[in-house]
Order: sequence, then C-alpha cells, then structure tokens
Amino acid sequence: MSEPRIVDESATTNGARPPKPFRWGFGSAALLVLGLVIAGQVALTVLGRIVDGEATGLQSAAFGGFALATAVFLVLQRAAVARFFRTMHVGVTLVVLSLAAVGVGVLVPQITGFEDPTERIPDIRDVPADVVETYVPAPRVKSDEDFRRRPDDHPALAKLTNEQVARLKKWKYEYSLFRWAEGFFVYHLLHLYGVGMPESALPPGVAEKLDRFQDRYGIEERENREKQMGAAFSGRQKSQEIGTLIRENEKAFRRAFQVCTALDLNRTYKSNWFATLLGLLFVGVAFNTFKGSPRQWFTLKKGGYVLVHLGVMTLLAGGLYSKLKTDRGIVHLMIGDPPRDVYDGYHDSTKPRRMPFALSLDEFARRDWKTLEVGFFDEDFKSNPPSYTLWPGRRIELDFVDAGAAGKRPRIRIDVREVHERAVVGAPRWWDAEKPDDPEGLGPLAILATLDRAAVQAQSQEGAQPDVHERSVFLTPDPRIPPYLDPAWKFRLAIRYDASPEELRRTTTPPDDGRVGWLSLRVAAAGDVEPMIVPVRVGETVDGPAGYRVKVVSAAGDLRFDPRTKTEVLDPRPLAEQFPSSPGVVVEITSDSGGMPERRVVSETFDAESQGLQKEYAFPDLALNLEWERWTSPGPPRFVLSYGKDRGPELVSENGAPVPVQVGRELPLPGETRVTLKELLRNVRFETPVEFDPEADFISGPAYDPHFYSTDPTGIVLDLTTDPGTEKESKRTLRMASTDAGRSNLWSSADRRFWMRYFENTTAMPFEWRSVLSVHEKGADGSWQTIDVGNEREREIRVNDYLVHRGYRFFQTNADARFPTYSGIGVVYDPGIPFVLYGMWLTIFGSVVAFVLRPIAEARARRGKVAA
Amino acid sequence: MNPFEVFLRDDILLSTRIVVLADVLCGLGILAALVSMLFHARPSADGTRPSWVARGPILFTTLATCAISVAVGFRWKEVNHFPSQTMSEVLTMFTLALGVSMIVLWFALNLRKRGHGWAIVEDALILLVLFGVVFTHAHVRTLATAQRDLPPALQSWWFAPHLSCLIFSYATMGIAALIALVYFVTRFWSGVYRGGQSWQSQAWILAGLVLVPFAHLVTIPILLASALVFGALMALGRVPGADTVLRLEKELDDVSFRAFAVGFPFLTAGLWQGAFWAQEAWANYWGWDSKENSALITWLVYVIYIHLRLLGGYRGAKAMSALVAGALSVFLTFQVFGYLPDSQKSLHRYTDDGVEPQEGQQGGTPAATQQARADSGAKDAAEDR
Repeated sequence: MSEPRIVDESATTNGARPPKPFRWGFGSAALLVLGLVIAGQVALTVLGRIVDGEATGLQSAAFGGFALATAVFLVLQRAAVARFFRTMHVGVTLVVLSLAAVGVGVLVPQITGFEDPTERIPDIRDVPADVVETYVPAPRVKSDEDFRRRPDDHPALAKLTNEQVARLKKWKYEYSLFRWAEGFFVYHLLHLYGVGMPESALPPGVAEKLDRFQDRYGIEERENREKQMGAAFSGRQKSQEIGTLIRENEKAFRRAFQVCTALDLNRTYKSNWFATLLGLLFVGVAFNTFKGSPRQWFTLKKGGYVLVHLGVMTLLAGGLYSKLKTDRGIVHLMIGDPPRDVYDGYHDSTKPRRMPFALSLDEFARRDWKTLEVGFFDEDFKSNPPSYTLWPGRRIELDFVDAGAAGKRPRIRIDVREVHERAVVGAPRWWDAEKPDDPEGLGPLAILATLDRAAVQAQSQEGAQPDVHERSVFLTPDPRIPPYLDPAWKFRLAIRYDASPEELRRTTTPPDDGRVGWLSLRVAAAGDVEPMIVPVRVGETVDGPAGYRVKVVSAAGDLRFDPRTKTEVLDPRPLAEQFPSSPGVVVEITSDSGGMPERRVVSETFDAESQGLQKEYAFPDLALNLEWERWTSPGPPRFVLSYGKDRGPELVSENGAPVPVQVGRELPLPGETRVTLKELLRNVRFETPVEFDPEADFISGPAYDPHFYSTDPTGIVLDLTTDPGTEKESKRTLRMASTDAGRSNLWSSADRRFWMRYFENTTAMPFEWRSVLSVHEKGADGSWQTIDVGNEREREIRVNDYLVHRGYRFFQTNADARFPTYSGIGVVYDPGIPFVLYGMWLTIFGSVVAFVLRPIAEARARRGKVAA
Repeated sequence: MNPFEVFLRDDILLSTRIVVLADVLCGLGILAALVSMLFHARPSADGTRPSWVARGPILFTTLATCAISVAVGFRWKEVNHFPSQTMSEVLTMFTLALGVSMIVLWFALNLRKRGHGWAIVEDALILLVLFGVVFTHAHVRTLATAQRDLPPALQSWWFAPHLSCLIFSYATMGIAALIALVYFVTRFWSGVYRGGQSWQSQAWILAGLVLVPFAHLVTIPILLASALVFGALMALGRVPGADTVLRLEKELDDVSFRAFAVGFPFLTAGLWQGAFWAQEAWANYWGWDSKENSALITWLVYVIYIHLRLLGGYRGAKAMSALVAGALSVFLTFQVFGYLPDSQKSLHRYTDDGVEPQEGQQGGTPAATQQARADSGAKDAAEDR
C-alpha cells in the first residue's frame, strides 16, 4: 500500500516547485562566518571611532547605513537567519572557529599589557627606514627598556623626535619578545624529542663532588642537583642556538610580526574580530537553546543540555559586560600615608584613574618560609647547602653511611618539634669550660669593651651618662668571624691563639694585601651549584664563566644610591679612608657573544637576585655577588691580640715589637676609640636563652592572625638525634631563633662535624604577603572620613582573598623588599564577574545532569523495565 | 640506579620508594592481563562470568592504585601541602588518576558483559593503562623531586579540587582515546590480514598512528604489538573479518563515548574551577593565560565531539577520531604547553622540568617590566609623589 502523498497547493497552483532551501555545509558556514567576522572587525572599529569622536562624517554615515541595512536584512530574512544558526554544521563551525581564534593567541605571543584594550604596537611607518634598520637589529641594551629618550641611547636614535623614540623603542621591545617566543617554539619544533639539541655534559670534577654531596644529603638531593645542573648547562647553549636561528631568519620573523600586528593577532582577545566571533557564538547557542517546547527544558532528557547552553550564554554575556565596563590597575600604598584615591590604570603610571573613595594601608607584612640549612665543616661544596622548609613534624635525615644489607643509615636526624611565630632572645651567657678540651666548648674568645670618645664627648655636653656608649665586642681566632673595625677607621683588630711568630707576621702583613674581596660569578642558566669565586682587586679583569669578562673599575667602602638619578654616589676620598659600612664595586662586563659592555654596581649588602632585579641587567644570566674582605682591603693599620694556653696576651702591630697587655686594661691602639680588654677565655661555653610567645602559634593557614604583622624573630624547637638506631645514639633538644642576636640562629655540633642555621628565607617567594586596608569616603567638609567596613579580619587581604567595596575589588599584588612599609594593591572594577561565575556554575551543573544523572536515571529505568 | 635498589635505600623519600612498589604491582598486573587474554581467547571461554584469572588484572590494578595513593599520601606529608606543584608530583597524581579511572570504567563500562571477546578488549585496556602508568613513572624518575614551597597564589582552597578534577578527566579522556585506538588498530590489521578495507582508509589510519609527534610514542608500540597478536590469530585462522570490525566499530564507539561521558563533567568542573580560583586571587576570572587557553581549546574539542556525535549523528571512526584529537589536545595542554610561544609569561609553567621560562630572554620580560613598573610605583609612593 502506497503512502498518501502530501500535495503542496501553493506549488501546484503556480506551476513551479518552491526553491529548495540552501543546505549549509562546514565549508559554506565557515566562509560566511569569516565574512561576518571581517564585517564585525570593520564595523566595530568604526563604531569605536564614532564613540571616541574621531570618526569622519562619511564614516559615521557609512556605519549608519550598514547598521540599518543589517537590521532590515535580519527582519526580512529572520527565518533564513534562524535556520542558519540552527544548522548543526554552523554550530560546529562556530565552535571550531572560536577554538582556532583562542589557539591564535597561544601561538602568537600577546603584547605586554594586552589586557588594556587601548594597548597597541606603535605605528613606526614615519620613522626613517635607515634608523629602523640600524636600531632594530642592534643588540638590546638596558636603555632600550626605558621608552623615554636617554643619554645612553643607541646613536641612531639621535635624529628622531622624543615621541618617535618612544614609539620605536616600544616597537623593538615587543618585537624582541615576539621574535624570542616564536624562535623558542620553532627551535623546539625542529628538535622534537630533543634530537640535535646540545648535550648537557657536566664539567669535570663535578661528579666526584656530587658523590660527596650524596653521602651528606642523600641520593635524592644529589639526583635533584644533578638534574638541575644538566638542564641548566644545556640551557645556555640552547639559548645561543635559538639566538642564531632568530638572526638567520630575521626577515621572516619581522614579516610575521608585521602581519600579526596588522591583523590584531597579538592582541587577539581584545580585538573586534574576536568579539564578533564570540557574539556570533552567543547567537548560535541562543537559537539552539530556545527551540522546541519550553516544557521539554525541564525534563531530565533536555535539562542538562539547556543548563549547559544557558550557562555558556550567561558567561558570554557577562564577558561582554566585563569587556565594556572593566577597569583594572594598581594603587601604591605605604603605611602611615594619607588615604589615596588614585590608582595607575593597567599598572601604568601615565594612566591615572580616580576611585569614588580612598584607601589607606594600616598594616602590611611579608612572612617568609622558616628554613634550616645544614652544613658540614669538612666539606666545601661552594654552592649553598640544601635548605629545608620547616613545619611541626618534619623529619630531616642526613649524613648517610653504609649499613650493609639495610642500605644506607643516616647519622643525623632532625625532628621539628615546635615552630613559633615570635621568639624572645635573652642576654647570652658565657663561661670558660673547666677542661680546655671540653668538646662542648667553642674555643678561644676575647671580650673587649669599646668606647667611642667623640660620641661620649658629644653626649656629655647634652648631660647623658657617658658609659651608654660602651659596647661589648667578641672576637675569636676563627678566620670566618670578622675582625673588629674601629668606627673611626683608625685601626683593625683581630685575635690569634697559640699562633707562631710567622703566623702573626702573616696576619698583620697579609701577602694578599690590597685584595678588596671575593667576587662570586654564576651564570644563572648554568645552575647554582658551582659559582666561580675569585679574589678581586681594583683594575683587575676576571675571566668568568660562559665567556663573560668582568673588570673591576672602582671600589667604595660606603656605596650609596641617589634615589632620583638611580645611580651610585662614590666617596671622593681614597678607598683606604672609607669605612666599609656598605662596600661595593663597580664592574664592567663584556661578553664573548658580543653586545655593548654592561656597567654594573655590585654591592655587598644588596643582592639583585633575591630582590628580583637581576632581570633588569643587560646580561641577566650573569649573577654577581660580592664579599668584602675587611682585613686585606686598603684601610688603617692592623693589630693582632695574641695569647695562648701558656702565654699571656700581647698586642702585635704591623711593624712594631709585641706589646704585653693586661686584662682589665686599655689596649694601646691609635685613634680616639678606647678599647679595654675585659676577658680572655681559652675554651668558651656559650648559651643564649630563647623563649617563645605562647600566644603566637605557628601560622600555617590563611586565617587572620595579628602575629603575622610582628617584626619579632621566629623560633623553632628541634629534636636532634645523632647516630639514631645505634648504640651511640644521643638525643638533645635545641631552641633557635631567626636572629643573629646571641648567635641564636646558629648551632654547631661539639665534635665540629656539622652546623645548622635557622632563618626566614627571603630569597624565594614568601609564605605570604598580607595587608590590612581602611576605606575612606569624602565627608561634608571634603576631608576623608574612615568608614566601617568590618574588623581587621574582614579588612585583611591576601593573595586569594580580596576586599570588595562599591564594586571595586582589591587584592594583594605587589611588594618591594627595599620599602618594607609599601604594599601594591591590585584594583579591579568589573561588574561582569557575577554573571560569568553563574554561567560557569550552570555549565558544570548542566554537564553533571547530562552526563552523570541522566545516564544513571535512564539505566535504572531500563533495569526497571527488564525486571517488569 | 635500578628500581629495586631505589626501593631499599633509606636516603630516598618514602613516596619515591612506594612508587617502585606500585610499578612492581603494575608489572604483575600486565602479566595477569596477558594470562587473562589467553584465557579469554579460548573458544569455550565465557567472558561474562569472570573467574579469578579474569579478575587478576583489575585486582593488580587496584593494588597498584592503592600503592600510588599511599605514595601520594606520603608525598603530601613530605612536602606539607597537596602534592601537585612540581611536574613529578603532577605526573604521579596523573598515574593515580589513571588507576582510579580504570577501576571506575571497569565497573561503569562493564565490557565483559557485552559478550564473547569483550573480556579480551577489557584485558587489553588494562594492559595499556598499566603500561602507561609504568612509563609515566619511568619519566618521573628523570625529573627533580625536591620539595618546593607553595607560592602565595597556590595557597588556595581551589588548588586540590581544580587539579584533581582536571587530572582525573585527563586520565579518563586518555582511556577513552585508548579505546578508540584499539578500534583503529583492529581495523587496520584486520584489513591487512583479511582485506575488506579501502587502501585510502588504511593509509589514513597508518598515517595517523605513525606520524603524529609524541602520540606515536604510544601508537607505534601498540601497532607493532597488535601486529604480533594478529599474526597469531592469523595462524589460528581467527582474524576478525570486515563485518566483525564493522560491528565492533559501533560497539567501541558507544563504549568510548561512555568513557568520555565519565570524564567530561570533571573536565568542565576543572576548567571553570580554575576561573573561580583566578577570580579570588586576581579578581580576574579569565586572564587569557596560554595554559587557560590551551585547557579551553581541549574543552572545545570535546564540545565539537559531542555536537558531531549527538546532533550530527557521527558515529564510529569519525567520532572516535575527534576523541583522539581531544586526547592529543590534553597532551598538548599537559606536557607540550611550556614550548608554545605565548606560554613564556604564563603563570602555569612548571619550572623544574628543564624548560626555563625566561631562558635567555634578551633583557627584560613582560613580568620584569611589570615588576619594574610596580617598583617605580613603590618608589613614587616612597617619595610621596
């Protein structure tokens, strides 16, 4: 039996079949969507100009015509538009193109500060080509990063205007980043699986050192170091190869950068074409979500699907709202400063923005990880010993020996019993050990009392007690303990115990006289395992690692920085007359791989690496540190206080006969400073009481704690077990504090085998930064009035916990070790956030309904049917 | 140092040593899977009622998974935080997720109940997953295992759920792709030994299995191992014909979709949890960081797969190809990401995997510039400007 045929009346009456609707395929859909995206790019760009008041009359008229024509088309062809968006091929095409667009931003590095929709690569078409061709290929130097004109700029920039210099510098900066990122990617693409990449052979002798390192710290630590070194050693060579690849293909990289810039590919996510694409995706999702009977939307079969699509729509709509309304930046606050209502838009001080209220900083602190370092007296690994972050219950095992079949056995076991946020260090106590060979004794010690006469005189005139200036000085013969330096810089004093006349002569007149200190050179990419440590004198050049040469141009005992010019201020006096309060050297660095020489100030007191400033140097991979040699560097005469087991004390000078001295009497030293010999100990025992604030518990989590803001040292209680599990096992409990007051941060074993140092690790990322903010509104008289936005707990911000006030969100974003009372607070105004978050929750919930609840329910229903 | 030596040494972290124990259990599981495959290959075998021989592979998988979870637990104690900060920790989490996914899918997919021969597919899947675990652990041994403190941004409630959801979904998606691979390999060798497939389709499959970088580290061994299996089946005269492969296609498509359906909600939750976290840390739910974008791309690949399969009616080879593409995207996001151009300033880079983020950057980086700008802000504030 044949089925009844449905006859289309309209078709038969006109005598012709209606046109078959066009069937959209993937190709046709993609073409049309791309066309729409291009139209969107043009239309939104013109709209932007109209909004900013920059459009010409013709542009405004053209946009009006386009908008009207689009509206008319949409009304007349609404059925065709709906059919288009409801086609599966179109939907999939929209998702594929969105995916490709997101992918573009992964493959093309986005420009610095692309979050700011106004940020662009500058147009340099008006800059003379010869300047561009000279300046752009020139190696990058420090002055390139400051976009203003500077005296040390490349000479080619001289003929440009300041504004052109700024644009060209920024262009080169962004191009260099682009070139490097793409070169890095292409290099790895050409060396899949590392084939053809440089081998990471460790320098000779390192393996043997690593074996010893393994005995001390365990094989796991050793292997970690070895892996780190391997990666780092090959890193530099790899970087050089990438550099070569970039140089050889300069033209191609330049062309790619220009194309990416022209198409907004390096600011994809803020571009108009991307917004158009997401807009089309929104429309597509909307058309498909709301088709069919609304009753179906609430069934288990369709519910998940509807929720997911509603979620996607909500988050896209929220995203658009964010795009139109968001502003972000940073407000710089310091404790004690008046309320501030101005912030730097997008971290740029040239884009100031004003909030309708002001903020001030009540408290700010950085807490670092509590760390223990363990070293061995008979080892010199040059590199830092491993450091261990501490928490209650942590166990550290060290110094391994073979234990036959049982593998390895540790000879040192450290158990962290308690960790305290606040420690109080009492006055140290010392006494001479009863037996000269008491292993608990720390060896010889001289205690001196010094009096600064000039200060006393000044103080006496003001009516104060003169003896407040008397200070105790502890000196030991240990060469690692610095000598006593006269504050008036008239003499230097060290002690020696049971020293031969030859040793005394070498001490007072050192053969390496004039050496200003030790320079440690380390190529960051070559790991921190083996820094090269060399003695330095002014005028000498050192051949450093990885083809660097470092020349010491000048040295200063008291190096200061001018905060305005950001340059060093050198003392005009001869070096020998400068007290080494803040010593440093000025060096000139040259590299075998070319580039302009870098002039760098290396200060003993300032570590560029831990302060995050290393990256600002022209040779950022070369880290330099200085240890000033206070005994051999040019300075006043040297004196040695010598005594022995069976010898009375005498004072030895550089070129005079020894002068006997007595305990309780003043030492015959030049200058105004009076030094009295108080005590001479042959084997000192020493103890510093460390107490803890019982209120200040270990802060391990995010809850508000007033002790976080304390500047007191922290403390630990350790259980130290030596030779655990053997007959020789011995256990003791130690209390330490993170301050060098009374050496309470240091401990060494009686048998001089190993030492421990407890400190708060400021060289790595901190445990946390926290700020407590106050909010102020303008009062009737125009002054700032503090308003109540909660207690400290509520006003405290951390990374991961922000404060909201009137739609502005404030979060912890910056700190600077040089300014301990400074806190950089991120500011975000974004009313789209809740919509986007709801959208995301809906998507998650919808996918759970569609892919978890629905199948379970359907399986149950099926089982029910089978059972029935 | 061989793994057994590692297990005995006192100067190696307990977590590292327990991973070796897990590897031994995986090895036993692989043997058990091989025995079980032979057992199920008998014509009289009834895969639907599992015997102890058939339960062996999942039993060892469970034991190995327990061992890895104990290792992860110890690692948590050793580093004093959720152990997913370094690449070695994340990859150990991943092998744990592989084990858990396999166990979940063993129950959820119930392959052995589908009929004769399916028990072999299940054994093969366990075999592949256990090999995956062992090889991942071998790779982990080349990475640094040092304890690292959590930077402030990672000290968030979201850390554990965000990572766990993503890694579990990656493992499940990986297994879904393995199911698809089983199909493609079967189709290829059945075509080679019994014919019935066009040369174009054979060429496409071969190219896909051999030429895709990184993926072929997995696919070529599978291809070669299955060549031996099919050779043996040929000798026994039991190579499946084109019609059997066609039936298998429908079934494996269904099975792989179910595996995918287990992972997809976790992928979605993991992705958006990252956004919730970023929102709390920087009031910026989406920073267009390239890791975020790579994860979004992965999610979109699976969205395309759903639409093609559920709306377009795509089934079999085409749909399973999309599933394999999704797994490749997961791999790209998870392991290759650090080499992509825009990843250099990403907040999500693991810094102990030998890829230095700012390696040789000639002069400043965007991060340094931002720092410099903030520094100048600090100076301005200090000088009260």
